[in-house]
Amino acid sequence: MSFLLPIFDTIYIDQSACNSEVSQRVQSLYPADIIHFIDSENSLDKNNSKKNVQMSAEEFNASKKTLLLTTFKGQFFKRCPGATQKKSLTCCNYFVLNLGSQCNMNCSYCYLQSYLNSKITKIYVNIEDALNELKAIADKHPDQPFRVGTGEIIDSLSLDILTLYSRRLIKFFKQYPRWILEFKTKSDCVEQFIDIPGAANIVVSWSINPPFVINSEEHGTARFEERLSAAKKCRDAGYRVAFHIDPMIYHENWKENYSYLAEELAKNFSARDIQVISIGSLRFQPEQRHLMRERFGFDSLVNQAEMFPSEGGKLRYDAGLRSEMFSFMYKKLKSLNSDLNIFLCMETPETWIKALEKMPMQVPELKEMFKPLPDVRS
Amino acid sequence: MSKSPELLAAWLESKNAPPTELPFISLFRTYEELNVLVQALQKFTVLKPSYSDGIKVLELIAEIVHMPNYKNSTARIFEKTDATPSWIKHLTEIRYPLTKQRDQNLEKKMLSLPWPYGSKVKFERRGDRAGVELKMFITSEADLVKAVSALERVQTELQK
Repeated sequence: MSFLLPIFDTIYIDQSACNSEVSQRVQSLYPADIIHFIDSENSLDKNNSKKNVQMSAEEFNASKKTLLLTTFKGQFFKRCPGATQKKSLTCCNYFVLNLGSQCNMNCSYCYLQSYLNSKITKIYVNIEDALNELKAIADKHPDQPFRVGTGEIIDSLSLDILTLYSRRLIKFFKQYPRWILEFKTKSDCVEQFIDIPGAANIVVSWSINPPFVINSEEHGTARFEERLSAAKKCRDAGYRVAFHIDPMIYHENWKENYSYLAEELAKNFSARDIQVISIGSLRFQPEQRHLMRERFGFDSLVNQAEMFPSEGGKLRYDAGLRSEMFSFMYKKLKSLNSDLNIFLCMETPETWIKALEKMPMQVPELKEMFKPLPDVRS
Repeated sequence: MSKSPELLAAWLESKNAPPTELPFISLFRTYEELNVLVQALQKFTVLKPSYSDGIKVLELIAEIVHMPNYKNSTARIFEKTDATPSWIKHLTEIRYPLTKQRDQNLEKKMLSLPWPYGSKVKFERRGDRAGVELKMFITSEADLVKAVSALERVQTELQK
């Protein structure tokens, strides 16, 4: 997929974003007849972002084809949603920097299907404000190991060809070597920053699954080999890489397919190349199931899945099955390379104990990651 | 199959419920699927399920008729329809075959463990977890010592 221009049917640029670098770049890349200038987001459909109204399948699909360049007035830097469920989940102290919302790829299980209520893809053009916000916190806590990701409600790199934010962020984070920046992606779009030498605190990570699952559930994403190839380019340019085997999806030959994934990672990367591997399993909000069925039908493994309400409200696989899947993957990866750092994402303490027989604070290489950090909310 | 909208509307009206709460109804599309829906709604007139149980039944059926493995065996849907709870249990087992198998294996294992004498052990699924509920009645320290000792034996068995 790399370097193909993301497909948008319509692009809106609001007044506040007109003179930005991103706006100029988008205007130079797309035909003028699909670009419309508007006073503000409010002048679009009044129903564009009705609170608490879930989008229909058609609206959600259309939201991936319509882009709005705008400025964001709120707080860019936030804790990962896992941190809000600290009572039930074991939290890894992740922070997110949201520079847009919605994704131009199309995974059947994507949590944005229940998270977003805006019928439009947004890119915030005021990255200066985001960096200033970050600078104020980083200057106050330069020695704390904050981990910051830009791929929570938008893929970190799949639209980066339009913004080139990766270049700004890499330069910024190099000033704070204790802080870790993570670009999380399912694309292979790395060419736009690969000329900048990497650093130990800049991590490019891939959410990855075996080819069978990618082909069945992760539509419009880079294929398995393309992601590995992009990861190798980053490693060779001096970046650290990470892999998120998340969500693991149960299917008939899951053991064989996830073994292949583990073997490919071990074959292509050393433990020194890989900052961390996280493992998670399929989970989603119950209200999302209707949209998933309508959009992907019952050939999709996620719609066939046997899911149950869990603590915190999300639907998940049976806890015993989750532990079996995590334990299998953990042991497989460790058998291939015992030095790999592996942790479970958004899981309960019970599952940690059952699958890995210990809590993260009992694992020396994970202790730093899970150690509580100062509260930076202003 | 033109009967399905009227039957559904009648059932919803009897429960004072708006049809907007049933997004999964649109999954019943083909003649065969609508036929199953009509049969289910006809069963409702006999079983008179509560609103939430009725919704549960219809959503389970909507999923079952679309499962790749069940497309040709929808007749099973209408087995065990003597009462709503047994029907829901039956439909759940059809929809969740892997979990049914796992639960059966776990139940067999759990119930064979040397639980304290006189205790009541009941296997249950609660959301994403399955296990046993254990009830004991302790009247003295000696009772407690015996119970703890039995539980240690259970722990040893579980670790094997």
